[in-house]
Amino acid sequence: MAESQKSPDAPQIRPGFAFHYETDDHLFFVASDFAQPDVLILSFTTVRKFSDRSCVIQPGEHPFVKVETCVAYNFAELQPSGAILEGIARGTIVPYAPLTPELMNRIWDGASVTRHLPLKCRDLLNRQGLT
Amino acid sequence: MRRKLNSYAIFAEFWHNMFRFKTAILKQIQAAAHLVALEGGRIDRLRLLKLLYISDRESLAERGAPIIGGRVAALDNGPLHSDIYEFIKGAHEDAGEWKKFFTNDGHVVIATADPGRMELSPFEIDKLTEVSDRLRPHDSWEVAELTHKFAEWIECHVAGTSRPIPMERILASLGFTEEDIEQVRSTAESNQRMRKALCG
Repeated sequence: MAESQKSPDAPQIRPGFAFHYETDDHLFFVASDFAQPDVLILSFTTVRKFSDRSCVIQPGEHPFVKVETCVAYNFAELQPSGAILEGIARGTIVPYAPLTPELMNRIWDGASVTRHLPLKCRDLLNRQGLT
Repeated sequence: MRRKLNSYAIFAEFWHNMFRFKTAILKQIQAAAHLVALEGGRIDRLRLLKLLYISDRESLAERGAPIIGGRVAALDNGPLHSDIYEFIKGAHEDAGEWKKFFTNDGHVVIATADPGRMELSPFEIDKLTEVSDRLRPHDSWEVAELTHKFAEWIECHVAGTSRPIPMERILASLGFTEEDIEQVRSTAESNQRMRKALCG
């Protein structure tokens, strides 16, 4: 949904807006300009021996992070911003404490070095000047 | 009252509920297109299916996620991705998408248009390229023979049948612990639920 089509009382969503899907215990977050029709959604996962360590987050860097965690760039998705707003309105998307601008900068740095981010997602970040 | 299931229904329910990575059709098409392009625009379908399987398996081993994922089955000629096999045969419900980019000449798959590579990551493109380059000296039957050494195929194959290979079985064959497998499963399923919720 383009910015001009959004309701005036739509929530202000910025990069770093974090959320759960219903009762799922994984954390997702917005990682690109929400005013654009397609939005980059990333998620966290616990660090394992096979994990992509392009952006590792330590406990204490965000309230959700209790163990060493990383960004799952290979699961990056481009999704319509309107679908996220609809999910919030329906209650299926449950907001959580946002990621700080400093953490988002680290995540974008990671996006510029990881080999696991799909080209379409990297292209979107490049076009928005975020990597 | 507990449902009575015939053997087909039990199999169908197992197949439906089995954990697997679900990948967008366009990504499956782009991965196949990359391999076809590396072979000069034409590839024996057995070779295409095996190169995709081997690439996916190596991707799983290295990062806990496949390139294309989806349903995997054990056939007499080795393991393969059922969706890709059905695309090639025109038996898949979304075969129309496949036909925008490929046609068949007997058992040879021929590229007719370029779907691009934007759904793939640099790692995935490199993995497909590396596997294709490494196995180029081997003919298609030799490549198929390599997949007969995979533990998951040996365990799941029954001669003359096409039986599903659970993703957990592949991961276990690759040395993943139960804890690793549970994390791979939970991350994949969580992302699939989110994707389904947002884009249907």
